[in-house]
Amino acid sequence: MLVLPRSLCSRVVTLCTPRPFHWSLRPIQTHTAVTADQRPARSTQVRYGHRSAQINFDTIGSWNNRLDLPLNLEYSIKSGTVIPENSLDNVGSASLLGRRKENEDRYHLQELTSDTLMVSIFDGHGGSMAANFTWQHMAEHIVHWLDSGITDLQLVLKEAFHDLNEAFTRFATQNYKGSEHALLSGTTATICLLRQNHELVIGHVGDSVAILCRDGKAIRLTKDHHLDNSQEEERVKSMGATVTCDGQGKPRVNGRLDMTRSIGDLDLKPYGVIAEPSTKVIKVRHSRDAFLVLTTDGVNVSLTDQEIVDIINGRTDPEEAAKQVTDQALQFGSEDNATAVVMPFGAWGKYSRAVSTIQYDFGRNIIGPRYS
Amino acid sequence: MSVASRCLWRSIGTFAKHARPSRLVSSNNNARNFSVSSRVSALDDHFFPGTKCRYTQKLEVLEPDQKDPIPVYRVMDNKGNVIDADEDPQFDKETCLKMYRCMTLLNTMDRILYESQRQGRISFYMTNYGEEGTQIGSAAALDPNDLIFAQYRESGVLMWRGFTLDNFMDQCYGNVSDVGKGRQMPVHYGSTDFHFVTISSPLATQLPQAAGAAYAFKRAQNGQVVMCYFGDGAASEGDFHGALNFAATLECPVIFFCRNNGYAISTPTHDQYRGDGIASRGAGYGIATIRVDGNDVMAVYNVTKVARQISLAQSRPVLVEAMTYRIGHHSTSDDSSAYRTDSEVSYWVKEDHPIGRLGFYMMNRGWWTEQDEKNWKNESRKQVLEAFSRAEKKLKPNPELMFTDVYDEMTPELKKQLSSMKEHVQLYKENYPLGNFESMDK
Repeated sequence: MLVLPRSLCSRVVTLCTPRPFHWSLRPIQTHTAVTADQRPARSTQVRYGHRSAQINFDTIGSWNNRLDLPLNLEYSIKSGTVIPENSLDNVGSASLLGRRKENEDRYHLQELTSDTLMVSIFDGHGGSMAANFTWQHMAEHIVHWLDSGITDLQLVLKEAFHDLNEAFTRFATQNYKGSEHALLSGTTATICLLRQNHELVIGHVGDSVAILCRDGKAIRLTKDHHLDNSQEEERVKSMGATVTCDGQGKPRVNGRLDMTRSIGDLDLKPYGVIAEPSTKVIKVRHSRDAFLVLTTDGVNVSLTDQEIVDIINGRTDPEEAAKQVTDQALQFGSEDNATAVVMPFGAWGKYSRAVSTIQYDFGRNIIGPRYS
Repeated sequence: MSVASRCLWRSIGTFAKHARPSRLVSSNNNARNFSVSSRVSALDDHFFPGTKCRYTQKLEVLEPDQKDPIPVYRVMDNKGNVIDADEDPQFDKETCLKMYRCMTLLNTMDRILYESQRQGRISFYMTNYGEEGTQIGSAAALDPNDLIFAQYRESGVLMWRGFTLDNFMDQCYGNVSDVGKGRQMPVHYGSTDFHFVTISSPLATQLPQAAGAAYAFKRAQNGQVVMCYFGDGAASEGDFHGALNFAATLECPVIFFCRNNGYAISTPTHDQYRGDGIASRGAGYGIATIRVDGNDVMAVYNVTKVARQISLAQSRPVLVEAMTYRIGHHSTSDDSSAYRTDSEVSYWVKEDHPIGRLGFYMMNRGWWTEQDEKNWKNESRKQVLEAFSRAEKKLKPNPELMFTDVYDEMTPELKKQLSSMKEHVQLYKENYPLGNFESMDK
C-alpha cells in the first residue's frame, strides 16, 4: 500500500511548517484493500437511494410516439396530480380465430357512467353460450351495482359477478333444460374498471390475464385460477372435486376443466368451481404506466408477459399493437383463439426505444419498433 | 424607526467595522481607517502596490483550516421559534401569509409541472424543492426594480415579483402567450416587466453580465442594485472569478447570491471545492460576505436587506452564501438516487424544510391553522391546474418566429432558410402537427 510512513510525513513537513499539512496525513488510497478504519466515509459501501431499475435516460425528455391525451381538469384537481382524459376511442383490440373452428373469445368496452370505463375480456369453453351471455350482460349488472350507491368497486365487481352467474344459471336451465350443451358451457371473465382515469380495479375468474406496463416492465394484475395454485386446488378438493391429469399431464377438475373458477360450468359449481372473482385495486401512475393489456390464454400460452409488453411498446398505435400481439401469438405456435385489448395510459410510447434491440431465444426475435 | 430597521442598521454597523472603507462611507469610518493605516505604516515606510501588509521574520504557512468556518446566520430554529427576538424582522401577518402562500404555490406548481414532464406534456423541468425559503426570502428583501440575473432555480423570485401561474405555464408549454415565443426550453423564464433577465442554459454566464450591469447602474446612479443568483457548481467556473474580481475592482452595486444546495447535478460539494464553501472566497476578492441559513426565510430576508444596503450605500459588491439543500432531482434529466441516499434527503424534507419552518412560525403566532393549510392546499392545486389546462390548450407560435429577433432585419441567408422551411413543411404537411401551431404566412 502506498501510504507514507507517518514519521517520514511529519519530518518532511516540519521543514517548512510548524503544522503538518492537512492533506499529508491522509493515507493515499490505492486499489488494494484498505482496512476498515481507513476507509473514507463515502466509499463504494454507501448504499444510495432506491434507483428506478434500468432507467432509460433517452425517455426522460418528451418522446415522439405519445398520445396527445388532454388534461382532465376535474380529476386532476381532485387527485392533485396530472390526470389525462382517457377515452375508449384510444383502446385497441384484436381477436383471431387461430386453429379453431369457432372463436369463443369475447371482449367488451363500455363507458358505464360518466366517470367509469369498463374494459373486459371473456374466453369461453364448451361452446360460446356462457361467453356470449356474459359478454352481453356483465355491464348491466355492474351498472346496477354502481347505481346502488356502492363506492367500493371491488365490492361492485363481486356482486356483479355473483348476479351474472345466477342470471346465467337461470337462463341456461330454463331455456336449455337437460341439455349437456348448457351444463358444460363456461367462460372466464376479466373485468377492468377505470374510475376517474386513475383508479383501476380488476376482477377476474379463470385464466384471462391483465397486465400493466409500468416503467416498461410487465406487471401481472391477475392470478390465474388454476390447479397449479395450491390454495385453489385445496379449495376445490375440499368441496369434493377430484383432480386428475389429462393426456398432456395438465390437472383438471373432475377430469374436465383446467380452471378452478369460472362463470357457467354449472355441473362443476357444486365442486367449488365458483364465480367469485379475485379483485385488486391499483392506482394508475400516468407518468410511468404506458398501458393495460388484457389477453386470453391463447396469447399467454405462447408469449411471456414481458414479450407482450415489448411488442406493444414497439408499436405506435394501440389497435396496431393488439393486432401484433395476437398475430405474434399464433406465429409462436398458439392453437387457441387469441384476443388482446390494449388500453393506453399517460406514458404510452415512452418505452418504445427500450425494445428496439430485443433478442429473445433463438427463433424468437420480435421485430423492433417502427418509427413512423 | 421600527425594531426591524433598527436591527438592520445595527448589523450594517457591525459590517462596517470589518469592511474596507470606500469613497461613500461616512467620515466616522474614514477616521477609523486613518488610524489603522498609521499603525501599520509605523512598522514600515511603504507597502507593495495594492497591499497593506507588514513584514514578518517568522516563516508561517497559512493553513486553510486555521480559522473557524464562517458561521451560518439564522433567525428561527427548525421548529420556527425565533432564537433572538431582536433578529425577528417583525413581518406583519399579511407579509408572512404572502411569503408562505408563494412558497407553497411554487411547491405545488413544481409537482404538477414535474409530473407533466414525466407524462411527456412538456420536454423538461427543474423543481425548486427545498430552496423555496432562499428564493422568497431574498426576493422579498429586494426593491421590485432591482435587476435580477438568475441561474435556473429561481422561479420563486419571479413568482414573488408577480409573474403569474399562466406566465410560468405559457413559458413551459412554449405557446403563443409565451414572451419568449416558444424558442426556449422550459424554465428559461425572462421578464422585462419584472426586471428578470432571461435564464441562460450555459452555466455562470450571468455572473459577468451582472457585474457589467451593476457597473452601468453605478454610472447611471439609478438607486438600484443588481441581484445575481448562482449555484455552488457555477462558482467553479472561470466566469465566477472574472465577475467577482471586476465587481470588486470596479465597485459595482451587485449582490452575488450563491445558493449552496449541496449538489451540482451529481457533484457533491466535497468534490466541488475545498475550503470553507463559497463564502470564504469573498475576502480574497475584497468583497463583503455573509453566510446565511437558506432554509430560514427570515434570515435570508434580513441578510439580503443588509446586503442591498451595503451594496447601494457604499457602491460595492456583496457576496451572500445561502446554505440550503436541493431536495428534488437536479432536473428531469437526472436521477439523484444514483448519488445520494434516501435517508439524507428525508432528513431535509422532515427536519429542516423552509416551508415547514415558516409554517411552524405562523402556527405559533396563531396566523395559520391546519384547516387553513388544507384549504390552501386545495386552492393552490386548483389554481395551478387551471393555469396548466389553459396553457395546454393554447396554440404553439408561428414556426416562422424561429427566424426572427436575432437581427433587426433578416439576413439574406435567414430569408432563404425561412422559405426553405416553409416549402418543406408545405410538402410534408401530413407529417407535422400543424394544427397545434399558429398558421404561417403564405
